[in-house]
Amino acid sequence: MYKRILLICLISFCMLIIPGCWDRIEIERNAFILGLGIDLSDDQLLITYQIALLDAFKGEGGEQSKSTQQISIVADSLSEATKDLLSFFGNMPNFSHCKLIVFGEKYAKKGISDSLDFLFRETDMRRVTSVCVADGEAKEILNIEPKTAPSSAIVIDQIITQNSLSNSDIFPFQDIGYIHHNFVRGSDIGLAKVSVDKGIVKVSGAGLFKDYKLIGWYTDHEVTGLRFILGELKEGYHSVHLPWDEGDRITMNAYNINASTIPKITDGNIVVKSRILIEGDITEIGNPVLVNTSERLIKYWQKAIEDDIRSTINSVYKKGRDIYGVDAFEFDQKIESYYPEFWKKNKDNWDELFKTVELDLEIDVKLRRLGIIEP
Amino acid sequence: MLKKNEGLTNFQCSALLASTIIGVVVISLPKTAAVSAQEGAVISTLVAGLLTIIIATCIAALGKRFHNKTIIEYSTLLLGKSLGMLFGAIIIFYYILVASIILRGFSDSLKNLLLEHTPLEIIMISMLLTATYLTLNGISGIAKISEIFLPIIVGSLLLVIGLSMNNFDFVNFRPVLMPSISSAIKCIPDLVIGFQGYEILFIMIPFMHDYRKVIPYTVVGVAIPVILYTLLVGMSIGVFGVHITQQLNYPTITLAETITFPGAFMERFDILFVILWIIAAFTTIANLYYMASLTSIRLLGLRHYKVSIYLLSPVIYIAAILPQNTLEIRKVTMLAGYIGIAISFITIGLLFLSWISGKREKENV
Repeated sequence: MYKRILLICLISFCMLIIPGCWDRIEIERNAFILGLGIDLSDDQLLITYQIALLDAFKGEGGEQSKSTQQISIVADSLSEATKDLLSFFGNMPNFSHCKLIVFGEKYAKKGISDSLDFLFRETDMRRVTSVCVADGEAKEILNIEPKTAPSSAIVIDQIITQNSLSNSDIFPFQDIGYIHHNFVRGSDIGLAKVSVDKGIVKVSGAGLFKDYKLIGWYTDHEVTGLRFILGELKEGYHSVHLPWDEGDRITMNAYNINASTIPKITDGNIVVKSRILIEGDITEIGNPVLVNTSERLIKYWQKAIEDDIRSTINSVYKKGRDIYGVDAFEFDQKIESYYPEFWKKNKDNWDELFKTVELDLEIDVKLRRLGIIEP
Repeated sequence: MLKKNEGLTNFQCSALLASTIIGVVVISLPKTAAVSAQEGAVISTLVAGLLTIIIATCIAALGKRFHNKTIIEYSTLLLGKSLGMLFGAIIIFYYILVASIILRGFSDSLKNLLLEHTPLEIIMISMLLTATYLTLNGISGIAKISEIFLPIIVGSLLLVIGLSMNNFDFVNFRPVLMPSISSAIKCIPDLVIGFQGYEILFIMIPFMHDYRKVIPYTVVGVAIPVILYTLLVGMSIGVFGVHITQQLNYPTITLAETITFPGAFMERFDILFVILWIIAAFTTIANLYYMASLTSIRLLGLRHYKVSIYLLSPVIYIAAILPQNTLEIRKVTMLAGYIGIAISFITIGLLFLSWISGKREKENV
């Protein structure tokens, strides 16, 4: 008799525990935040949330209905804005699928370090969320509704993480983990630049941050030079202007780029040796008719591309080092890796030391194929 | 040798050891290693693991000499009645402390990671009741559960380690400054705490089917967590670097979070890992609970351990509820760890004592 009562009590208790009622949030009650934009509004922050409207995500759907909703809230901090969001939107904010963080230009110029702690500490926010800086207001970027994808945050995230492998003008792989890595060390960072071009988003170029304040921009071509110095460029297109009878303008598709950057310290002088090996095919010749391809011409083209890349990298380096003084090239990390004792002694005056670092380039371009017609 | 088909098989012993050691510490071990050993974290973890294997082997050798007695009985034999009872009481106190602090640490982490709104007490009571139900079946119950769950636990850790190879960057290992000998020695105790759980050897040996092979299977059982933990620390430092690993509270979970599949095939892998980690924590808590109840019964000289299981559950619950915040939990975990190391060294002393005095038990035929 008692055993039966005990059994019933036990089973009832199990039934109460197992469904996990406390943390149950129905899937329709979740407001999945896909993108987060941070702008400046007087003294406070203007946070723009891009929230996914689930109807457009399920099924193929016939009509082109709105797939995201943007809400902008003025608040003192990110946590407060998340709390205020509950007054505007009927669902619970859920950051676990957040794809993109956009910093507005004015806010970036003031300094982004006060909002970074929320991004690092929040349990749901993932370290692989892409981060970029907007040319203008972050609100406008998130308000764009692209036709090929459900939301602009997803598009920008895909461009930054995947298209950057093929296009060397996109500054890749900045995510919260990258910023955290540099924030802990006090290093400078560069972030991909996003702008609105004829009604659609465009990702090219980079913004340079010193002490986590935006101080300058790199253009798209300069980002290629930056990626060469960082040593992580794998493929890309490269065009060179030449005299008319040497081909006018040739474009090379580099399918194999091997760039390594190693610092060398001799007598307190820091020289960074950058060795770039490129293999590529010719994809376009401006003036194919008057040209006779020959070994001499191939060598001439190779030299022209080498000189062009050299001048690009040197101008990018001078701009970063002399005009802005921003070490977005991760030289401090390279020096810490290769010369840890030197770094321990000198890490506090890295800013002055960086101005004395010389770049020693060694570029080797090899053109392999010409496509399917000759020349 | 017990009758045929009776007693724990050899693999069950290794599984008991491995699943008790792989518990709650696994999610925060890379942080402890990075904070105390910095660049030499991987090597320090490996050395701490090897030291643990040596200590566990000594305890197994001592248990083999007295293969029909648990620690309570052979410590009274070697140290005399009063000292032996005192040592036994310290061990019981240690087991209860560790069981409660592991329960609390697990519930705290789970509340932070997965179940935000669920009250802490409900998480703890659910886990404690499930562990109570398991331990009522005795050592064969927990051994079978450990044996079944071990591949799942090891598999989930290997999955996290293997899938993070994508994000692994050898550059993060570059400033491999070998720490000076004194700093290396200072950080070993903190790391050995992560490997504790081998104390189940104190009570396991009388129940084994064939006690003669206990030492090689002990080595296997402790080596599994050693290898896994070393790989985990190495992977965590490789993916994040030393500075970030020092800051992250749950490096293993964050490691699982950074695993991405192209095309959003599976986005939140860390949720899957947390669910599998709950299983690892459950085996640890149940094993520790059983150890606490069995040793307390043996100390009092009684026969049925079920009474002590029922009596201990409110004690463990109250002890688990006492720490006020995460920092206090960490302090108590360290304290329990140091007590555990002291107990292990006293046990090695007991081994020498038994060699010198020549006391042993007759070999079973």
